[in-house]
Amino acid sequence: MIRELEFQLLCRRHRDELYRFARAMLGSPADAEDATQEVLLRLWNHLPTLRLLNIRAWLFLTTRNFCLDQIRRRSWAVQPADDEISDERVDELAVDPSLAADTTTRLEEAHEVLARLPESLRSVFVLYEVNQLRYREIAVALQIPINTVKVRLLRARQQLNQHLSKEKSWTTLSKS
Amino acid sequence: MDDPLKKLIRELRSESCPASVPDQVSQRIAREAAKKFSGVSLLASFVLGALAVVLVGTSLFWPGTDRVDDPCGETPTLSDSGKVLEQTHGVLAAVGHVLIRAGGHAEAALRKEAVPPLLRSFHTAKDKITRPL
Repeated sequence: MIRELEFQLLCRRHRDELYRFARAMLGSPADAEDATQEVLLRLWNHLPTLRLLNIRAWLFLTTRNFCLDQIRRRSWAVQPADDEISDERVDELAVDPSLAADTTTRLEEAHEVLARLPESLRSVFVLYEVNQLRYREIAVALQIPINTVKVRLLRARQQLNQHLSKEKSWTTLSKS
Repeated sequence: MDDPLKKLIRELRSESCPASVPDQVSQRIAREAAKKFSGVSLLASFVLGALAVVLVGTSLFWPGTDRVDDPCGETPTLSDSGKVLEQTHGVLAAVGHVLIRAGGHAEAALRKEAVPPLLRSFHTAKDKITRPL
């Protein structure tokens, strides 16, 4: 019973940020829902052995690993298995092209801009700016040094600013 | 002040997880729990069955006290074999009956006692989550 209550509390607290992170990684809302479900299910299974203090980092690490697996699976479905998949290829496959074409809403436009970042920068940017994790938490979640987190965040902001300056809809809207 | 990047971040922050996700997670957890329980009961039945076979085998092939104490060293008669068969039949029937009852009881107990509280708690939690703040 305690485990169930704890699980429900954790679900309520983290599901939105996990979904946002998965959405940024995978692009498609349906895939993000699947990823969130899978991670919450893993949370339920691992809850007795997890330390509450590290749960947030654990959740994001698990989400990231799951999303990368999904992206790799997509690539295997597209090309022969013996091909080495480069980071650039992973980024290409991270976003569903049908979704990218359909930019009817503001949120989808935002995702389209975000999808132009490489995965390594995108995940740091979403964790810091959107989900508001601290540098240390991001370093633990992505298993990289804190300095790397800072550098990637800076690069992500620079690249996004470049992309956004080319987009009329974002610049005109921000001036108004 | 309100640059495009901040707009973008605000837009991305506005996104939330669909309400169907926790429901589906609850359903999957309930399904997995039911599967786990049925697996445990199956394993228990298997262990009990194996134990019964070993016991019956031991009782059949263990040198009986009657035979050891028999001063004449006579071979078992037809009536003795019949008796042993009858006893074995009785033991097997009893073990089978116990196993069937235990299996039925375990399944009923799991359905009655384990699954409903789990479902109830998930429904309560679901209501709490979906209720507007």
